[in-house]
Amino acid sequence: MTAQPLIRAERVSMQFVIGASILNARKRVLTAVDQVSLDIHRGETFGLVGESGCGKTTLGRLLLRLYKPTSGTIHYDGHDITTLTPQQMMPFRRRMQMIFQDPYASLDPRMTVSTIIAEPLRRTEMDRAQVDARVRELLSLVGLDENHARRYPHEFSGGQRQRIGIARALAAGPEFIVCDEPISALDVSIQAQVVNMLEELQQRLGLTYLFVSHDLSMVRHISHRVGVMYLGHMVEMAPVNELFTNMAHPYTQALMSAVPIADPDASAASRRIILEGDVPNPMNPPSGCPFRTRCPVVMPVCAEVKPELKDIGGGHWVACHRV
Amino acid sequence: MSTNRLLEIENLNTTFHIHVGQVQAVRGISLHVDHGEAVGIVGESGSGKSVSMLSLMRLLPDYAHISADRIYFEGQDLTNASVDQVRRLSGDRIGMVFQDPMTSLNPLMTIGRQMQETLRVHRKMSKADAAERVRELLRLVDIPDPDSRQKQYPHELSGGMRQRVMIGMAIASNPSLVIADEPTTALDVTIQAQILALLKGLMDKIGTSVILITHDLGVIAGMCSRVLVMYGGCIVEEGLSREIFYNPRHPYTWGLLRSVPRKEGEHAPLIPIHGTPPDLINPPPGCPFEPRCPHAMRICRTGMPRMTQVSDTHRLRCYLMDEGAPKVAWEGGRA
Amino acid sequence: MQAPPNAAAYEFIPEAERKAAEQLSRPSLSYWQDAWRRLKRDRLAMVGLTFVVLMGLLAIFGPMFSPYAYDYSDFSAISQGPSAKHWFGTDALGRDLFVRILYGARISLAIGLVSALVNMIIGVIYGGTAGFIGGRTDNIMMRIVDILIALPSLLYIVILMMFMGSNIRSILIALCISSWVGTARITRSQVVSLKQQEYVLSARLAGASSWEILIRHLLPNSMGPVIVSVTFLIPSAIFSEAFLSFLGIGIQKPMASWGSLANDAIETLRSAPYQMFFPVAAISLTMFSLNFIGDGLRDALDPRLRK
Repeated sequence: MTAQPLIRAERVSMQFVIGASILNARKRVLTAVDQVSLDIHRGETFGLVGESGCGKTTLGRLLLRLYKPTSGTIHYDGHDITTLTPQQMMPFRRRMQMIFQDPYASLDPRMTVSTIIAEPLRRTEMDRAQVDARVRELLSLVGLDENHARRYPHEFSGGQRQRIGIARALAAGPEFIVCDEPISALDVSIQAQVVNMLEELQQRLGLTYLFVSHDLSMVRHISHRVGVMYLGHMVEMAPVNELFTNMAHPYTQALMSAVPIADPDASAASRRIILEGDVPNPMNPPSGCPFRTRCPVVMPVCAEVKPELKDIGGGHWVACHRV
Repeated sequence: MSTNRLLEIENLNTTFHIHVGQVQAVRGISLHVDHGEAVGIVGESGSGKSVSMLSLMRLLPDYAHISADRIYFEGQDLTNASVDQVRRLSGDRIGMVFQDPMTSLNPLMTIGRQMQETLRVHRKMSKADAAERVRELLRLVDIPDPDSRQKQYPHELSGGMRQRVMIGMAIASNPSLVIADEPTTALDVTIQAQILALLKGLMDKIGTSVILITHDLGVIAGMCSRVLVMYGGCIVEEGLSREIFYNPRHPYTWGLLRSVPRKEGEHAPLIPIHGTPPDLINPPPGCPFEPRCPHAMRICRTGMPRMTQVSDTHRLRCYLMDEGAPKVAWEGGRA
Repeated sequence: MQAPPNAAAYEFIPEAERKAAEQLSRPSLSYWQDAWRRLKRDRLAMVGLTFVVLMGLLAIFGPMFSPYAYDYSDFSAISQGPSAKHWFGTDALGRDLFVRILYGARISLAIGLVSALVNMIIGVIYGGTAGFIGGRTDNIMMRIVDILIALPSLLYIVILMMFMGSNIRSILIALCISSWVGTARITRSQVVSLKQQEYVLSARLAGASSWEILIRHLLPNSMGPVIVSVTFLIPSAIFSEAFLSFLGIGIQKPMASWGSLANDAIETLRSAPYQMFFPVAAISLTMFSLNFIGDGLRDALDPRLRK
């Protein structure tokens, strides 16, 4: 029995209008996310990788309805939330949360830790004592001292602030959490602490994650399924082991080979695919396949027809004419 | 006593005097770099890896007090050199590449002009010669169409391009040493691969040595022949790349290697290092890693451990090396 | 050379002892406490603050202790220089200047403070709303501000006063609505830059309404530069009032403000220069002090300078 996915996005696109003003009527459109479809099932971690400008952060925000998609639909637990007003979104807000990348900008510097963590609880019926108890419970859940509740964010290290952010995300008891590059700003030895904690919390609380990151090794470690994005498109999607052993898309292959390996012999032996050039300007994407300008195995058809995601078996989808 | 090493530093100390106290950012480190080699300095925030190189180049503010027993560069004794003397070397014999090219490049000047400026200041080149050299440099760093690129401003270039320009400026006068401080941390992984390949290629082409400062063990493994591991202002372990990755002896190095997903295809649990990086204001006596070390002993609190040689090239600071200490094995090792 | 360490030295430290180590060492300071600590170290600002506080206290309590009422004329003691009986001397109508300066302080300081506060409230609401709503509304609101800034404020203060008459109430009203535009701009730019911060996004995810976000997050975090600019509004208001009164359009006799005292002193400038000296000194010293405080606050409230 395939359970209904918790999140279902179908051909979701997000376009931003840039540069319109009173004097300049010519609008330019930035397509941050281009017709992306994905399913996330309860209890799983969906890893979303890609480099800057690929749209992964925007997609994460779209799934939380922080933006309204320009086209396509988003379903949460069977409900269509694509066009709901902020009022109508209220009952869903409690169930979905986000952990942010920058531990220094994601906490209001003027508020105490306790106020920060309790913010999602302001709309509930809990009284003062219940809120305090919950804050203490959350602090200990993320491995912080309860006495830290009255302190200010600047007194904590990056890793500790990230934990405060996690405590805040968990406050109202959500089911789904978008983790937007939660560890990139942290020291290496702290990254493992936070990743382990996220895994443990997932076990304990039955959470579903969208783990957005450019760090392939961490994504591989924590995800059940992975999607690879490039210039707003989803180019490959598969269960984690399948993706990393049978990479089909040339971009995924290049991405994987570019990741430095902490092992001198393996590093020397690895075949590096060095991509030429830079990522194209998202406001002026290439025709056909977005990756064709840097693809080592490009063909003439790639410039004419945009490849669609094809099912190549085993839950593995690829958008490439070569496959 | 002269030396035929490119760079030799003995007992470098850097302390910042700020109003809440003294921050001991660098505590007695010694290192050397030979001609044509790539040395990696790996560490996290507060390790002192960046500050140590900035101290060497005298690029720190007034309230930083720097001292060393010996600093030799290209046979020249720089131990008591003035700030001006040292700064004259920078850009000429020593090139520097920083993490964020947006802040190290002047946003108001075109790329070409900035690159020419370095050349004309240090080498007293004429405008025409400098322009030609800039074209050559842009080609060396694989920037296509150098003539039109020269006229562009930093913000018009992508992150990877800007970093190439920085590298071009750093190698402009054929320096014997390039110090790269987190040169690829802010770049996408595919661009990072390009830049690292470029650096490696340049090392071969112009025979320069490189000190690569980073927190990324993978980058070190791919580029460097020797590695220095820093923690809390000290060098806790140093050795050849193979020695550090396959036969590390310091608990911090073990911790670093275990907390990073290393081998492909393994879902081995990540074993983090508990605790947080140290606060360097009035640090307690003893080994800086002791509060987080899973093998901390009473003696570790008494004072800084001395350097123990494991081989000609491999040494570390740890009380576990003492004769009376218990034998602790490293499970992730390889012969 | 030390004896080799005994076996006990090589015992592992138990877990419990080590947990105690992860305490936060430095005392907890809120933003304001830290700012106050930093301000205290700025000597000029402290001198300025002391002066203003003293002046304020004198203004409130001083006249109670003076044997003279501010409008009491002693015709036997006209235009006398400073003496033991009259510390600042007397004016052309025999009134004690010291007590008149203190009264003047009441009026000038009150006008300065009240108008700065009202301007701040108007400016913060206007700028905060514009910045928060963004888009076209923001554009239009800010263009209005641009136009208003271009008009010389003194000009329309004078015009307003001509309609409302010359008294303390009309000066107050005119000043209260003339300088909010600067504050509006500062607030708006702060709000616009802070709007993108991740903690604002997080508040939206937590279900906060736009109003709540503005009041609980954006405005408190914008206060730093706003307070600094408001601190500079006070001396500017004091000066405007002094200027108007000096021209004769402001405070009328027998009420005394520093500006009107200076006005009174014009006729006797040659013969009794001290009558001009004291009011002018009072204005200058107060403005200096407030400017020092403002400069000190600017450094103290800048989050980037926090160590």
